[in-house]
Amino acid sequence: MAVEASTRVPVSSDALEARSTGSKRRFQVSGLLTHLALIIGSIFALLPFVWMVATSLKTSDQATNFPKNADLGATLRMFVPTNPQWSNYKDAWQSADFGRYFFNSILVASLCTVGVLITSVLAAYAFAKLDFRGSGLIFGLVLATMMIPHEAAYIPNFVIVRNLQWIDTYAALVIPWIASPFNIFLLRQFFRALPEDIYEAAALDGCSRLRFIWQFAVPLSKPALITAGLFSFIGSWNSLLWPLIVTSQDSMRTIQVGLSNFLNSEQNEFHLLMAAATFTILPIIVIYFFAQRQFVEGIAKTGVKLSSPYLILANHHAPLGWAITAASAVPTPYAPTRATNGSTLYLVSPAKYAGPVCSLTRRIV
Amino acid sequence: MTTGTAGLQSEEQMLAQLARSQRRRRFRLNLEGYVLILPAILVLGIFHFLPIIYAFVLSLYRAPIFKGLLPAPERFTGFNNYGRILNDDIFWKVLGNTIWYALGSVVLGLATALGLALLLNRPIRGIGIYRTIFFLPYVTSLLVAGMIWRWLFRSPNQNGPGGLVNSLIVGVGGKPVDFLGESRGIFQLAFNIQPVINSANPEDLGSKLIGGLTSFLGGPSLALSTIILLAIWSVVGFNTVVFIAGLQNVPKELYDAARVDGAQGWTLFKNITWPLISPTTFFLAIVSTIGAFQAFTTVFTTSIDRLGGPDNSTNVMTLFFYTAAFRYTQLGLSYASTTAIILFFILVVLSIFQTRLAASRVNY
Repeated sequence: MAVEASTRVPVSSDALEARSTGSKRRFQVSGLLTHLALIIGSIFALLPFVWMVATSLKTSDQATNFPKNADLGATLRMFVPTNPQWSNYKDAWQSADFGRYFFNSILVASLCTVGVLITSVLAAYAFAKLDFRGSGLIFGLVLATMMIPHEAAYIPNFVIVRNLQWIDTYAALVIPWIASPFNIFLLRQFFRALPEDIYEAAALDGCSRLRFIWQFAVPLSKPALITAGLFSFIGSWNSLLWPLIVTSQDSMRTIQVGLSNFLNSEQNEFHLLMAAATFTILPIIVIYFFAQRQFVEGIAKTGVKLSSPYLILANHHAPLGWAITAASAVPTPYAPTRATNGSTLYLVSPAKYAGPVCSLTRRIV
Repeated sequence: MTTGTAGLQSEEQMLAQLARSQRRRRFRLNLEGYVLILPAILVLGIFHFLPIIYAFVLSLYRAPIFKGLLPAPERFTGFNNYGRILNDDIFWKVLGNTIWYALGSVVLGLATALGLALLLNRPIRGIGIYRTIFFLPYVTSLLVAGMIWRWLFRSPNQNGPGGLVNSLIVGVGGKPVDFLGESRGIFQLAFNIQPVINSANPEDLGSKLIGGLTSFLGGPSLALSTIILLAIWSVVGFNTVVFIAGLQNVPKELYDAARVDGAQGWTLFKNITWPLISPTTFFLAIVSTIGAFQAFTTVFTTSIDRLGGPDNSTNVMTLFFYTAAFRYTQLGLSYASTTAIILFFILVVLSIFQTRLAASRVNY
């Protein structure tokens, strides 16, 4: 309080110095408290993983051998496995056909990712750049499918897949998931930012539309493609309910279905369960550590983008050097209705959602 | 003169030709557009859009199992399934559980995430490391997370505390808790409320209603609360990252201006931060609510019998229709479709409601 008051009167150099050290100390204390809170949070976030790995390296007896009496020290010592049992991983791997499950998951997740990227690039380009008849309406319908809970579609999809005789085939695991309204939306925003005259110049040189998409549009939107691809891959790798419904043979199980069955059969063999859990998430953790920037920034961008169409512009146009950087920079005629209109229309009437974004784009261009 | 008419004719011809070529270009453009969107539209149409209509059609039959695309015509029962579901006590319990699950995971999840985001939105060292750590649970499969949860919160047995959490509770002198096996509500446990049951006539509609309501107000069961904790743990990183992005879009000048006027701490948050991030909060609230109503893997993995037990106290909508369709085949596909359609309508109504609310409440 005293510090605040001192700013109102002419200050001597002594007072100034005192003020700066005071606020510095306060800053240090609040920084320390911040770190403390964040470290406690990190412990909660990491503890389950640490416990998983610790358990996976014990014998069956060691794993469940909790102290019977109040002995906190003994409990905490259980985090450090004495005499680590690396063979648990081998045993878990061999007690079910995990090799096959891994192969299936890698294949399915890769095919889904490639499929999603291809269909999304083509559709997003058409929606962004070709003003074909009915494009607004169709795009609205595409966005509307985002609102449909996948689960509500599972029973009919199961019946459809069964009639196509796709049960226990890769087709059933892959084909329903090779299009994603979200990624179409994401890439469309990117493609919109590409200047029209690039295509006209390329067309004069006899460049076909497909070749143009492949040689110009795709490389220019690489960040969006990487984000979309990563999410498709991880989403597919982690999905459980759909593969559970459409597979019955062991040889067609994905890693999640295999692990789920393993959980049923080894209810109380926690050292094996945790070993299997560890090698199941390992590939994703590795991908995450290598590509975490894409993940985190991709999420940050898409979240903000979906919450406000003007910020979508802000982030997507940044690589092309356009001028908007923050909500405050949005031209005033649009600003008052920004948040409500943007998020509202996106969820209720997606057809109208395209409106404000494109009119603003034109205005800025 | 002749040359003049010839010139006019050729001009008309040229115009006609131009119109023709424009029509042709237009046609080509339309065709190109349709061809490019075709693959995506086919997949989305067949596997995402039509199924909702199809599920509705299926819900009008009484056919647990059938061959082909539709059950036999004599199986058609109109809206009977909806009546059956509304009279199904388990359905109401499941709906109550789902509402608690959504409330708990959305409100607590967003509050935790906002807290973390505010901490991370400061100039401190090691932000990247914290962000990596908090985000890690989000990329972990819910199945694996659920398996770890089962193990962490394992119930006590004759050999001791059973799981790590109980062992820690015993370690600090507490009594072990049957986390995943406790079907009583947490408020009921905390305030020691006895459920109201009209034992004279338990099948009476009025006493059923009162019994259902009191059991709902008793809160989510301890078992369900443990699973809600898992839901929060797994998604908090995602929400935090989105909140940070929202916070960073708040213009710094606003804070500086307010500080000059003597505002600090809570006042700054209440008058600047909270209103300015309301679009982000609103977006996250909708996404998390829809996600919570669709939750399957958390409950399927963590509930003690993996079927929504104990006593259906962890059973939620998606698990309910999964078991109806694929476990208890006497209920079967048409009954499950009915549940799916009800879930769909709840989500639509909820989104419209939240949007209306946002239209009046989201600032800026």
